[in-house]
Amino acid sequence: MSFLETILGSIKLENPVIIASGVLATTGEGMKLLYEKGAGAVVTKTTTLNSKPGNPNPTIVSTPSGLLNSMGLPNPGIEEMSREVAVACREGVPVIGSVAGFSVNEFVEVAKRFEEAGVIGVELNISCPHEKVGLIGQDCKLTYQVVKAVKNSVKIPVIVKLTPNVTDIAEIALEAEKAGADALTAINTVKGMAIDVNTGYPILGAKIGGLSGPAIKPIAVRCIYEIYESGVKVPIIGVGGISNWRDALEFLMAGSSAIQIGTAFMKGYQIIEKIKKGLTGYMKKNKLQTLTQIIGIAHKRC
Amino acid sequence: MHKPRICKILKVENEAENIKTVYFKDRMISSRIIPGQFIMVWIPGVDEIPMGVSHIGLNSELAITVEAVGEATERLCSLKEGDFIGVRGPYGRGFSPPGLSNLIIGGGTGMAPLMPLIEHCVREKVKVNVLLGGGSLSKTPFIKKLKNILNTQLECFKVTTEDGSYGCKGLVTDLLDEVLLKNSFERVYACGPELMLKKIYEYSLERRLPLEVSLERYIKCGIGICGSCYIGPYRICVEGPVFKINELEKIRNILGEWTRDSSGRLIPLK
Ligand SMILES: Cc1cc2nc3c(=O)[nH]c(=O)nc-3n(C[C@H](O)[C@H](O)[C@H](O)COP(=O)(O)OP(=O)(O)OC[C@H]3O[C@@H](n4cnc5c(N)ncnc54)[C@H](O)[C@@H]3O)c2cc1C
Ligand SMILES: Cc1cc2nc3c(=O)[nH]c(=O)nc-3n(C[C@H](O)[C@H](O)[C@H](O)COP(=O)(O)O)c2cc1C
Ligand code: FES
Repeated sequence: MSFLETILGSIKLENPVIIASGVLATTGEGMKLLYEKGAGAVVTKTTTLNSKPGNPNPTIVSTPSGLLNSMGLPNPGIEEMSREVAVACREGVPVIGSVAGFSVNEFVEVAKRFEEAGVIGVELNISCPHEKVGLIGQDCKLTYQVVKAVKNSVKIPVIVKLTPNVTDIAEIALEAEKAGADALTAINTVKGMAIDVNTGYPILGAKIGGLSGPAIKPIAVRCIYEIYESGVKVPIIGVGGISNWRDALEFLMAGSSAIQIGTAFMKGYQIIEKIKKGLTGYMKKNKLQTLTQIIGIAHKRC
Repeated sequence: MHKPRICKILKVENEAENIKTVYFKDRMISSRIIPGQFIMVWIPGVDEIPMGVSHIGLNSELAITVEAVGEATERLCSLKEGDFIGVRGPYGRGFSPPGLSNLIIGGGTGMAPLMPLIEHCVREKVKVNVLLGGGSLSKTPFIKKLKNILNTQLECFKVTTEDGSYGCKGLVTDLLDEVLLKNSFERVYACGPELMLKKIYEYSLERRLPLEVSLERYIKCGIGICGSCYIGPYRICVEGPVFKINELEKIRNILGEWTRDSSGRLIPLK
């Protein structure tokens, strides 16, 4: 067993560095490349039943310590995305299909199509801050309904991606687990906005967007800590502002069994190997054999 | 940093029918831009779109040359001196510096990002040959500007129009044999419709010409994280928009065949 191997329910990954949804895994070739650059798994761009052009530009604007985006889930629809995914899956890339829909049925349909295309699991995006689907993840009942329906329709593991834009994230996490979620991903972006003071115009085409990057790291760490503390048994995948191996370590200590990176790709693909190298170095130095020796240790320190 | 900086429009010139050149100043861009790199232009309340820079002047003066093809470009073309746009960048990889003898091939507004390269050649006093293709005289940009430069320094400047209203009748690629037979070039640069670039690529491959081309795809973030601009393994906004001939090998089978729309759907180019 290698140092960095990690287990997410029935999914075993060579390393815990996963590509966050919406970031570069839009095409089959893009997914292959991310795997070649060292990722443990790749989450696709969130996909809906029909194609979606996304919001008008600007869809991105930087802030002093992160990015605001209002992409609006642009995607070619599951028909075309499953062809892209199949290209990557055929070559052995561990792909997780990110699913969204405008009805429970749509979630089910998209998840089933991803399964047929050969993905190792699906991640339900019920947390996009600038889309209606984001409302699901703010409501226990809706979360339960969607997760349960998808769970009943596919055999592959179902991961649920949670939003920080709620009063109590642990409550939603427990509800997702109750509905059968095999793992949880936390967090999606935090609602935010930017206005150009010269003209008075909101900058983003959709006006309101989601904040990612270093600015949200403390929020993400807190969310993971709270979910872990609540007693959920399923593994947590941590995401939000991870820019180096120390950040990744912090997420593992808070209780994540794997981590995702998004915004840090602004620094280039090397970020994947850098995080893996840093984690390996840390484990060797502290004579640790497996990541399980780190995961959640912050909870034992209190 | 990746936030639009508001700047005032200094001047708007008619370049051709439906094509305008818009002048503005931005120190961040002018101090670091390399010909061939692109910028994101924000028209508040409308859209933000990628544009090549068609003039890199002194005193941080810059220009973009815009063809009105849709909502954002039409609005951009209707702006007047004193109006405001937002800009961010420069982004992507530009052209390599010119050699001692250079051939520059532009198709329509595809000539825009090549103009600063020509300005550079003229300043450095190196040989520059220009081929420009367009639909007709009134719709082809830069003819006047290039003629003015021709008087001073261009080695050769040839225009083709599809309707024959100026220069030779036909496509700019029809001139390749004639020009290349008489000269050898240290660098060949091209930008224009992808089918034109594909032809030039295949031609250059056979004759081992040192070609660089600038490509287009749908750009959203411009900083390499959203994945909307992939062409094969490359992101146009980071690894492009300029590609060297050896890099084109990996996308040979898609060049001139497919592009992607805003949703990422494949769209046939023919
Ligand atoms: C690197 C690069 C440099 C460019 N340089 C120039 C230039 O110097 N001069 C010039 O006139 N044009 C240039 N373009 C093309 C220009 O960006 C599009 O014509 C413009 O975005 C159209 O916007 P619209 O709203 O007017 O048209 P729409 O009606 O929205 O669309 C018309 C066409 O433009 C494409 N388009 C729309 N938005 C974008 C976008 N964000 N990114 C890419 N394509 C888009 C559409 O796919 C469609 O094919 C460049 C494009 C790229 C990628
Ligand atoms: C440009 C961009 C696009 C995104 N698109 C999606 C998406 O389609 N689906 C999704 O679940 N999350 C999406 N996200 C959120 C990320 O997956 C991630 O949860 C968030 O950015 C926090 O991680 P980071 O700080 O490492 O970027 C997107 C983020 C960015 C920056
Ligand atoms: S435009 Fe976003 S990756 Fe190139």
